[in-house]
Amino acid sequence: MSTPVLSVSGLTVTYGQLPVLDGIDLDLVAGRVHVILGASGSGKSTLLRALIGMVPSPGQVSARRFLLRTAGGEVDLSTPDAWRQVRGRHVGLIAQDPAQALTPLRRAGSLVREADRLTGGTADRGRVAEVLRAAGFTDPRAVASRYCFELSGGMAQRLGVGLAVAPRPAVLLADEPSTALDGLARARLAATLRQVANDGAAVVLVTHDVALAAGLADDVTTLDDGRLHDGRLAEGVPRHQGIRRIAVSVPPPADRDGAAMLSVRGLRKRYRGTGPVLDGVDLDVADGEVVGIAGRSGAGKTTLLRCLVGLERPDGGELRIAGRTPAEAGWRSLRRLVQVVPQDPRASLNPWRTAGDLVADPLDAHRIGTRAQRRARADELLDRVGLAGLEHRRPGQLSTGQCQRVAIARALAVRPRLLVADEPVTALDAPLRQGVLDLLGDVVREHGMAALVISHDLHVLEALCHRIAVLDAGRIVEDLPAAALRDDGTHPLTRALIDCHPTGETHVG
Amino acid sequence: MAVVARGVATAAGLLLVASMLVFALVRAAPGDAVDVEFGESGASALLSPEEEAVARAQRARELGLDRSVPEQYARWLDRVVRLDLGTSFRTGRPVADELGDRVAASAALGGAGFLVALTVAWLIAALSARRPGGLLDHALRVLSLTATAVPTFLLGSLGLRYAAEWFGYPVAGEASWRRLWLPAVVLGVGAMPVVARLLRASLITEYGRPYALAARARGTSTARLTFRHVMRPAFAPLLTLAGLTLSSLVAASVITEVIFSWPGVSEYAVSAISAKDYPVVQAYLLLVVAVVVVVNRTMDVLQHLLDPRVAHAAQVA
Repeated sequence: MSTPVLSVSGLTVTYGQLPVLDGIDLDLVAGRVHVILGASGSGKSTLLRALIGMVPSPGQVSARRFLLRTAGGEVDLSTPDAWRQVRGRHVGLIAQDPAQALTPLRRAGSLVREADRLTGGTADRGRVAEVLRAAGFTDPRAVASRYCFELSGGMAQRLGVGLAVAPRPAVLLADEPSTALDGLARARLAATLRQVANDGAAVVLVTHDVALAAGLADDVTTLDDGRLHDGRLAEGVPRHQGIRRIAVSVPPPADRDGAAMLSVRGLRKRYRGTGPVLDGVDLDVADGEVVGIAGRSGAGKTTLLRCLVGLERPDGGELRIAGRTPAEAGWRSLRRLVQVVPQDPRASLNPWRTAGDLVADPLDAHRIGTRAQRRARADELLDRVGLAGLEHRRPGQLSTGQCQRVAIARALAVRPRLLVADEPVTALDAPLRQGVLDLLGDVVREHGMAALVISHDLHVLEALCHRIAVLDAGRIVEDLPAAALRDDGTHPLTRALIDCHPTGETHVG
Repeated sequence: MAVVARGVATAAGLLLVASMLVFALVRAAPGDAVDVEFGESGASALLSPEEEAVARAQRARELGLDRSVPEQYARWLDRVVRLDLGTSFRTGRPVADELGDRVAASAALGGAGFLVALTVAWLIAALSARRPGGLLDHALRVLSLTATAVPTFLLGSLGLRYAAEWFGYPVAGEASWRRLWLPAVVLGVGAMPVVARLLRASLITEYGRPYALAARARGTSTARLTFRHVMRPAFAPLLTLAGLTLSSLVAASVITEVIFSWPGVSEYAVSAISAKDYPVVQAYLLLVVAVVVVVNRTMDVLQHLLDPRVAHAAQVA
């Protein structure tokens, strides 16, 4: 084995009395992808921060050895000052959420120029174009002049990776780089990381995305209790991250023409200055049926949802909920029928209110029952979602998984007939996903309600839904029973989604 | 274009309502310009009660005060629409001329004070946000709180005394650049703490965002991070506050103007109010509304330039 580029031994990070990392030994070798697995809270982020010399202020870092070998010789990284010359130039970082990791009010080209100058490049126009082209942009000049907040998620990801990779760092750190990505973008990211390693960098991939890890790993370690253990991707871990198919219900209602819970015809929506976001969406959800909407980021999934619950006024088309249009029934009464489980549970819960208040909120809003009845119903619902006795906790005192359970309980409070879930498990760590999906499946079955689940993760939809519709560029391009999608799906996007979400098992030692 | 039209319409509506209120309030107070005039001149002592009554009635007729309040208001409004602000009861000069001289002085003082406030706030915020809870942060917090707590008149009087003694600051005289700096500093220091505290909080939030972390991971220095990455998004939401501050500094810095005998509009308006010089009070009001509206509109435009996401969000919402 060749000499490691970065050698760390006895790396310890403490916050106050609490050691977060407790004697980490790590040798990073050029050309290899080191995968570090670990549950949330295991210290993964702290380890990455330590590896780029950015442990936040109360944290104390110490190490017996912290050596970087560059072409110019060895650099001792045990003092904070040593990092100034190293960060960005020899050690690069790919952040978790690419769209959030670019200075919003700077132009893409300006960020590239700055990064290039900081790492000793020429930082001229030609160099900027070169970096952008290498990042996968076919028209660098057009991208360079755009504000970073105007970039789509996919473009932001390419730019973020491009910025980190451009100075050809000896060590490239990637922090859960796939969480915010849809399947296609994930595949592209995996290819890039492999390429960077092949070009001679040591890549560190911290993730709980087993599928991504399985495809890339040369070495696997697991971070647990602040220590690294030799790890292996457990044999037989299904590529779909352990998400099981859930028997959602007794057979879906055969009679499609019957009382459709939701009926959408030719729904159109465009924002000023953009192309059509929804370009004639047709969709039916029968009573008791669970329908999934799959699609890449930017396909219009969220806009569709916002139109369905009256947060956005469509430009055209017809929308009927339980047979009535909003114009006939009024949104106020329709909102009792449709409830939403939001994408980011923590962001959707008012941090100042208790779980009990939050769940009772829709009851208060619709003035259902007496105050005591509302509280009793809230307790009952919290009990149902597995949060019995936590009604006095506030969101800050609950885990993200528990927050999502509160959000589900809140959605159920008014006994809706249609539940709309927007990426219900995207914000959750993989181990928690199954629990929340099980819960969603159970409550839908118990209440016999219809549900519309929106996700870019085909596995999630396959687990929950009777039927899956694929949304692309504002149109439904495929609409098939969930069980038949893999065999009968013909649209290129459907095929691409299926390719990115393989069934089958991985065997990586 | 539509934005400008809407701005003008809003301002006109605001002005109409505000002018009615002030018209009613000023006239509801006991005594009027005639009382003040006769009282001040001592004319009452020389005239018999009958003669005084005749003289008063004549003066009231001259000033238009013999008519009903709504009628007076209508006449005033009619003239203002034709850009005639009337003549001062006291001096007999056109109000436009009287105020005109003073507007420039007030604008210079308010503008200079605003620059002082922004510069100092910007510095304090940038320094204290670097290490929240650190020694420098605490020291600067004490400084800000002191600046808030010390009343303007005290700071102004002390400043005046020492500046005169040490730098030979001209205590009285015309409005001039040599006399501008001291009241500007006093005004600026008074207005600074609010901006500094909010900007500090805003900066700390932005430092914690993933993009700031990513920028540091690319090797960006702290200074560069502050000024090239974080400052713009942190400052943009404060523009509204900055606008309100600027308006009040230009149009309502009464105490500073009085202490430094700075010939500005606010000082003049106060004396006009006590003399019941209605045309001047009305014109002053018009001016204040105009300043507030113009400054606010400017800040809106600036905000769109500084943070184009605002325009974006407005579009989506």
